[in-house]
Amino acid sequence: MTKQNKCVFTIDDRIFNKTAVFKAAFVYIDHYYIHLFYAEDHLLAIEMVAKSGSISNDIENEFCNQLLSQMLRYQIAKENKNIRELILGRALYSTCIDTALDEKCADNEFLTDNSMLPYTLDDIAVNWFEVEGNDN
Amino acid sequence: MTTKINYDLNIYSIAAINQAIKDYIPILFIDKQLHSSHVVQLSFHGTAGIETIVGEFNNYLIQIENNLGVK
Repeated sequence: MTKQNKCVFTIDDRIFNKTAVFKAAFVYIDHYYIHLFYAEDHLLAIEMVAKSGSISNDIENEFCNQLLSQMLRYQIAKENKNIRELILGRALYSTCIDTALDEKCADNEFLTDNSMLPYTLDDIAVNWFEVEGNDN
Repeated sequence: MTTKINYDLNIYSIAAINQAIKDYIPILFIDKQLHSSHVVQLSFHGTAGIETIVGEFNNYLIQIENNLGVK
């Protein structure tokens, strides 16, 4: 008795998103050739052909579990999309613009005037040797 | 030897199919026909063992759909 090297099963596309199906299929492309087609309305057929040897007995169940996992990841990613974008945007914003002064100003309203700052540009933009002297 | 495969445009995007065809044209001859309003039929012409290349083509389509279209 020879074992099959091909397996075809169907899933309902109203339950599983197409993106999740592609991501689940991607996990198996190292060992199987995978083709997707519609067997009937809303019934997405998945054809898996083993690249070498016979196909695993429980490949259908394994694929369904992988599909559930990918569907969950997809839903979580969708739910957390806004907060991820907010965190990333905030992180990149602080790397581009020095917000330390703004935060100080927000904490201390009297520092809004430049004259009230603890230093001025003239204090900083001077030659170090002019201030400390050249010992050499 | 010719192998005909139908690709549903409700599953695969036409851009992914065109990209895969473009990348596989140096390896084998491919004819593209509109089988129906939402199904593209590809005919693969080649020598023996073409099933393997068609299988790789299908996997490549999945890679492209996952935005990982690197051979």
